[in-house]
Amino acid sequence: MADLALDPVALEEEALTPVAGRRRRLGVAFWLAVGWIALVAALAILANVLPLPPPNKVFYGPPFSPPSWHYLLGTDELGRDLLSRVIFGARVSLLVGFASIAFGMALGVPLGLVAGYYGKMWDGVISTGANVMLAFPTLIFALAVVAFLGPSLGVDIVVIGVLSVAPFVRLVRASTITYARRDFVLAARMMGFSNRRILWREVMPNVLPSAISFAMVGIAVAIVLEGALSFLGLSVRPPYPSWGNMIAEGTQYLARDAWLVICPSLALFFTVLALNVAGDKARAAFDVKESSL
Amino acid sequence: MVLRRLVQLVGVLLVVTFLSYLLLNLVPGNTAVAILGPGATKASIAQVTAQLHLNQPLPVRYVEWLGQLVRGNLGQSYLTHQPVAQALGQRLPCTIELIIMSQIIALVVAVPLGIAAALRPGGWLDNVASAGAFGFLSLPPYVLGYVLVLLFAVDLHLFPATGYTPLTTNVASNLHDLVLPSITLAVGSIAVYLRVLRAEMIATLQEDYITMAVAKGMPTWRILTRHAFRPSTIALVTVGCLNVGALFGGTFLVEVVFSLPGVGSLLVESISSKDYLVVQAITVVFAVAYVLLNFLADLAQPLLDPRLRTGSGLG
Repeated sequence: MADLALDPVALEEEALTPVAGRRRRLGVAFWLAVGWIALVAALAILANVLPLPPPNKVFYGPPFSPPSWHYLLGTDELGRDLLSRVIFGARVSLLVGFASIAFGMALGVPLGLVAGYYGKMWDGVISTGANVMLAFPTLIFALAVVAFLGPSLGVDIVVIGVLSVAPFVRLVRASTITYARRDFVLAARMMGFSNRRILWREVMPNVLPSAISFAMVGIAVAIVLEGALSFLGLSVRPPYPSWGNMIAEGTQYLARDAWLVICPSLALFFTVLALNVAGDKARAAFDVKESSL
Repeated sequence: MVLRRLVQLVGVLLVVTFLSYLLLNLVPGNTAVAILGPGATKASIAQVTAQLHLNQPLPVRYVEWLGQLVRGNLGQSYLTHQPVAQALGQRLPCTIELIIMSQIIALVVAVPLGIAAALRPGGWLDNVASAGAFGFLSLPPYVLGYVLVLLFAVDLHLFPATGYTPLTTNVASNLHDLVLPSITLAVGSIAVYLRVLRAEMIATLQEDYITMAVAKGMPTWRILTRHAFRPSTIALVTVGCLNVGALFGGTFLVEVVFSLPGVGSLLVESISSKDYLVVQAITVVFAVAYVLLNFLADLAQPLLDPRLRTGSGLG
């Protein structure tokens, strides 16, 4: 009911503002964040093509070398190139982050649309299911499933993906309910369009921006979760690098060469921060409720 | 209303315990062999199969297991031969203490900051606090923990990097040991409480009764603490319940980072030794605790907030 309290004039303006006009309000922080994500993604995708030594090549340089022209980020306890390991480690984090959230969106968005648009039985079944899934503590559930199934990248992606379905259902359901009451949906209905067409052509394009900005925050959460699983040795197997297992390995040498822990930590921190900032700015720009205040 | 919620609660608890029970079936191969580990003999396999009703249909097995669970019998580890409830009992104090200390730190930092930020939305303090909250939210325990260890244990020698003295042995050294772990765990909660309190306070400060108080010439700090903060505590309690549930995972990670003898360390040890019954027991205990906390959060809101009570006659 809170939606009805919104100022109708502001709503009108919001609806009339072209998307291009809204984008200008995203600000410098948003583009800096997107730039960092794009850079990390490009490095991760091109890791094989870039002039990098293999990430697992031991004694590529002397162990514990500090950063220098030759070894840009230095080397670890086995003389492996840290820059190469951090970039190859980004592959694991980004793959798990994007793939699991894509999984969550692919299931969560349609379910949320159906629940919010058709209501009644559909809503009852879907919302109950989502609430039950939200009743599990995320990390503990992920740990338990991975422990019982045995750790692998695929298991991680599916587990985190399944856990991310319910939040998408809730979000999309809520915004579908508000959009389904708007005049343009009513108009489409009176013009005799089928429900399916209204859902895909009228409701979906309006619901998607908020789902996408939520997805960015979701990817951040997924990366942190994968990092936790990696850190506990429940993701990709060493020697293959991931940010989490690099941190775990580096801690043995914390007093001697803290850089081994700091390096992957910084990569993880900036990537998660960038996703959080980008997601929040995008949400503020696209969210009807907030932008009309 | 409460009755309907209770029925829902029981339903969710049944599903949650059933899914936790199903976990055991995820193990590839014979369940009894997996539980017993490499030392399994024909006789012991037969014994475990009988004890855990493994040769019976799934619903029967589940009901038998649930019956034991309700009576507080979490089974026993076939690897260490220790009852799981006893192992949990030894580890829980550390975990609970860590959660309580972190929440005290989080509230002590977040409440004044949140109030001050809400006083001038968009001001420098608000901007710094909001930016800080984002940074805090992006610092998982396995990153922040080591940064704190580096600064305060390796460089400054102020606090220990690992180790734990039970509260009953020595209070002072117990608290000293838990300073860094609690701060590590508190940081995420600070961000959560700060954002909730700020939003709540900004909304409250626009209410008519605040304008009234200002017009009466009440001092600002009094308006803030007596008039504006009190309704926001309801949101804080609700979010607090949800947050503590969400904190379980973080607590477990902090315990691993600082080698504390809590439930999280037990869980990780059991995962690496493939002690499946212990993993399952911890999962179900914390999943149930999480559901109960969420239920409390749901229930607390109308209890604490007279405005939300239905049938009060005025609404």
